[in-house]
Amino acid sequence: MSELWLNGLLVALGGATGASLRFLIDGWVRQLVADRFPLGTVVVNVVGSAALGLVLRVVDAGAPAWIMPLVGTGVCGALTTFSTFSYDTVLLLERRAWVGALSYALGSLLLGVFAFWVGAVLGA
Amino acid sequence: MPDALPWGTFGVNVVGSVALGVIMVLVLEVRPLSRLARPFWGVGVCGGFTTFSALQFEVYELYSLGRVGVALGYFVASVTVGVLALVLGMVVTRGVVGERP
Repeated sequence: MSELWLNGLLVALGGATGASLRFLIDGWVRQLVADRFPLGTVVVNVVGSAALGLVLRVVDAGAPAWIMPLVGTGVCGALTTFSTFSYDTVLLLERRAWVGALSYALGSLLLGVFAFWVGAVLGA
Repeated sequence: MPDALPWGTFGVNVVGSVALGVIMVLVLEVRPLSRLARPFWGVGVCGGFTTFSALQFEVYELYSLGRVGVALGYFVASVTVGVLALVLGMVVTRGVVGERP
C-alpha cells in the first residue's frame, strides 16, 4: 500500500514538472510563431513521446523502476496533452480549416509515433 | 495485456477533453473567472490529466504487434471522440450558463 503512495507521489512530482514545462515551452513557441497553428502543442507532444520511448526502453533494460512513475507517467504524461490537442483541432474546425485540422491530427500522430520510436532507439 | 485495449488512456483523454471544453467556455465566453482558472484547471489539470505520449506508445505497440488496423482505429477514435467530447463540454456549459439570469 505504501508503494502505491510512493508511486503516486512520484507521479505528482513528475506531473507538476511536466505541466510546468509544457506551460513554458508553449509560451516560448507562441512568441516565436504566430498563433494560427498550434505548434506549441506539437512540440511538447513530440518531445514527450520521444522521452517516453527512451524511458520505457531504459527501464526495460534494467534502470530503476521508480523512473517509470516519475519520468514516464509523471513528466511525459503531463508534458504531453490530449485535451489541448482536441481544443486545437476544434479551433481549426471552427475556422473551417479542414486541411489544417486533418494535417494537424495526422501530423501529430506520425511525428509522435516516430518520435516515440526514436526515443526507444536512443534508449537501447 | 497484449490483447487488451488501452481503455484507461482513452478514458482519461475523453474525460479531460470534456473538462477542457467546460473550462474554456467559462474562461473565454462567460463572465470571466479568475485569471488563474485557465492555467490551473486548463493547462494544469486537464493538460496534465490527459496524455499524448501514452497514446503514441499504445499506437506503436498495437502496430508492432501487427494490429495495424486497430492501431489506426484507436487513434482515429481517440481524436474523434475527444473532439466530440470537448464540443459537448462547450455546448453543455453554454447551455447551462445561458439559463442563468
